[in-house]
Amino acid sequence: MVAYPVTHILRTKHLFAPVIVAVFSLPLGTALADGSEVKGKIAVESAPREAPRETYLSIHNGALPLQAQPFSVRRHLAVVLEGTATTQITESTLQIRGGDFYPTTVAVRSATSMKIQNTDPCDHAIRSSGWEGETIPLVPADTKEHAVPSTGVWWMRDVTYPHMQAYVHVLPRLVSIAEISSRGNFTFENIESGDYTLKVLFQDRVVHTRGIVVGESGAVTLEDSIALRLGQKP
Amino acid sequence: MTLTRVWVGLVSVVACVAFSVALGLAGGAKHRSSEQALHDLYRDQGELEYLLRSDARARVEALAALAADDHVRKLLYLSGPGASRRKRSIRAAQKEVRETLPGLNQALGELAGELLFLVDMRGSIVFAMGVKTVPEGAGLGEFPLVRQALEGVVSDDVWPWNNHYYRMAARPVMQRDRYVGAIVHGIRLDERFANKLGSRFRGASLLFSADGKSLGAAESNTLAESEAQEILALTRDPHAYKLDANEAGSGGKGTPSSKVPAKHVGASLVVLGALKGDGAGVPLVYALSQPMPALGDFANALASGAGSAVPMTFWLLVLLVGMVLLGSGLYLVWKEHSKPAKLFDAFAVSVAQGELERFPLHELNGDYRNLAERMNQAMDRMVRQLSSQGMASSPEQLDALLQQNRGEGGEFFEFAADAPTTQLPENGPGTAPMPGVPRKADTTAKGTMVGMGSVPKEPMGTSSTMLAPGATPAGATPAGTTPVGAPIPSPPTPPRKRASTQMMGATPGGQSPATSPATSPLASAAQARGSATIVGGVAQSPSGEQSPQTAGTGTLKVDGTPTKKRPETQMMAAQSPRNQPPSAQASNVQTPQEIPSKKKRAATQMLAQAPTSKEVVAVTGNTTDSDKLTPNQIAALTEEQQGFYEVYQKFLALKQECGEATEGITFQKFEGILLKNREAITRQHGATQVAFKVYIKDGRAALKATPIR
Repeated sequence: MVAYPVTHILRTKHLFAPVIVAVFSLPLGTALADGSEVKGKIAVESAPREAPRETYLSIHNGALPLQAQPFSVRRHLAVVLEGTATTQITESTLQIRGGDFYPTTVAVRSATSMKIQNTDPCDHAIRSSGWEGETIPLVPADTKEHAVPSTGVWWMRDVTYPHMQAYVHVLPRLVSIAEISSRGNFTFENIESGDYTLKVLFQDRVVHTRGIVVGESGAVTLEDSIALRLGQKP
Repeated sequence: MTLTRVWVGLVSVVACVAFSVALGLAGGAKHRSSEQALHDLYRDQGELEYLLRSDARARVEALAALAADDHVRKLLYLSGPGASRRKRSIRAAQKEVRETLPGLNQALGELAGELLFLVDMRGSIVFAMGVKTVPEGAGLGEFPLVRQALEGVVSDDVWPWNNHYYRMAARPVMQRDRYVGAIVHGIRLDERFANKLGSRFRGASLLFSADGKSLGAAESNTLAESEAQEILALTRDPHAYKLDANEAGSGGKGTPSSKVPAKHVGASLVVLGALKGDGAGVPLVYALSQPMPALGDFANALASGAGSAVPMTFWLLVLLVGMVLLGSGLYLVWKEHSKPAKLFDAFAVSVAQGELERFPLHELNGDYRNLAERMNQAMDRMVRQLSSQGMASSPEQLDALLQQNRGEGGEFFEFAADAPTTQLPENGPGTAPMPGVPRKADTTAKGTMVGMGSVPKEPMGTSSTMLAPGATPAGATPAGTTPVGAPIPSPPTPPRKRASTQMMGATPGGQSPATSPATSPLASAAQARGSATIVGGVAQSPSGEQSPQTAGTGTLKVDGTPTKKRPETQMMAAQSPRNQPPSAQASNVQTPQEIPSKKKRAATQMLAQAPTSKEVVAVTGNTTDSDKLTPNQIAALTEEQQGFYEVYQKFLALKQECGEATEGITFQKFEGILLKNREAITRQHGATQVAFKVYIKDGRAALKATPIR
């Protein structure tokens, strides 16, 4: 009998755990952190379509219906805060994972460095429009660090695999880069009070911009989610 | 000659047409062979595309056996959500796959994968073959081929993988009615694959290239090394193997207009194409080539001109060739026919005019040389024949005779050597010109027919012909023209008022004193006495000898320094026919004895009433009174004299027409000249009659005597 409540609690932990964590961690986190949190949600209403591939054979398997892969917000979007506050961003990391860049949209602060890490089992050769034709070869499990180009938006691609493309936004007033969940929730941590500009970056463009005022008294949660139609260019 | 030129033109046109046809045929043959080669090449390209598609399908279908393997499906299933709790099971399943999958792969034969991956639904690699190291957590899920396979699509692609290129294929792996992952399979794109496909094409060459570097070529490749390098260089140009968006959209997919144009590389026709698949960052190109059919050097040369796709240049070339042919033909016609003909004609004219004796053979060539030679031979033969018959006269002698008879007032007299040779008097053998001897006149070339055949119409008022009594009317020579064979006249000289000797009349049957005035007795007498005037048929020399003269027909006047004697009586006596010896009468000229007695008496009376020498001088100096005879005097003339008088009147009229002075030309003098020349001509040429005619020569009135046999 004693074990039942415990087992029951364990079985229902996925229901109570968030509540428990929220109740106990929020005051604690507020007390320990130097800054506030900024939270929000991104809802992608329409994702860009991929161009059809040119192959000799591309057919349905005939057994099961097609199962389209969802648009990965974490891989393709970047949510950043720009402002005048100090920041701890000193470097950025761009991974090559699963045969593509991760993420494909990168925000970096100017005058910093960027690491490129190859986690694939094949070789890659990276080239960027901001590097004046320089190509960075990357063997499996290799990591290369390179200076960030000047302010602007630069493309980056793999000369071996043409489907691999990434966009690097070099921002001089970059304060923070949000962590994005697979469901589109993003969070900025340790944000000092002040006026900020929230930007959502997708590929080589800014798809959403809004101003945020972070006060002394805690977290800022965006009331409404940011709806994006990525299939339509502005 | 016109027909020759027309023929040359026709030949040129035919040559042009033949040239055009040859060019057209050669160009057509090359075009057809090129079209056939291109057609074959595109057919092979279509077959190659079909083989590549079949190869992709074969690989995908071969993967089905691997995807259906229980161990593969189990491993991928375990690697799905919650895999972290099944690590032990996953490791066991991986072991099983490692033991079974290679065998299954080898069972695929030539379709066995050299790269083989099992990827879970997150794209992570759970099993790999043909790869040295796979980092922990590595995946392939973002490769388009794999991502589509995870969505349920069976497809193929081309991947670069660690310095090699692979033909990839992927298909989903299903377990319990859901996708659990995908299997990815790759076969290297190398020479083995090129040989496999190249063996299907007879006579064609196949190679694969990546970024301008050869990946493999079929063993049956017949390309030269230079051609292969050139083809590899072509593969770097996207326009060589891929159509532009506009080009691709113009004809639609699969239509001939959407095909990439073939290229000529060396002696081969090459078509390039990109391997389908977007997995590689560099173009993967195949090159399929067919050797061009050989037409032969000449045909290729022709076809290169005709097939240059510049029609205007082609036709200009044809026109130029035609013009060259036509011009060459006309030039040759002119050189070999027209020019020699004109030259021959010029020589013929010169021969006819007496400027040349014979045709100059050394200046003629070919047929005209032969013709001229035969003409010369013919002329020589005719001259020899005439000479043998004694009918040819010596122009030199005739000229000399005329020169001798040419006294004062006789400069107008010309000898008509244009009379037919057959009618010329015999001059004896040896007088005919020998071949090669220049002749001033060719009596055989042209002549005036006297008394035979048709008589040319005499131009009005330009000439007059008078025959001696009983003569057949002779043909007239056109006025103003020099009869062929006539001696070249001496430059005109004004009438000499103070000539040392004037002779009129003839001396029948003997040597005329006028023929050698320096040695004749008359001349000697004139010189001795200084001046003498003789009227009548007998001229009296200072020594008292008498030269026989034709009574009443000749007047000899020797006019020099004034004489103190009065020879009128002698002159009158000499003019008396009674003083004329019968032997002195010319046999071929009517003598006064033959004249009817009535006329004879009238003539005697007229002569008896003739003026004295002084009066004669006066008459010669003033023609107004004495030149024209009175009707009575005319009626008193004999028939022969009337003929002479007719010629005389025409002569005077012609001289007046020519604007010449007629002073001093009395009928007596004129008659004397006629008689004298007739006598000389009949005597020297054996002619029975002499025809006189009046004509214009060099703008002056002249007389011409024509001996008639």
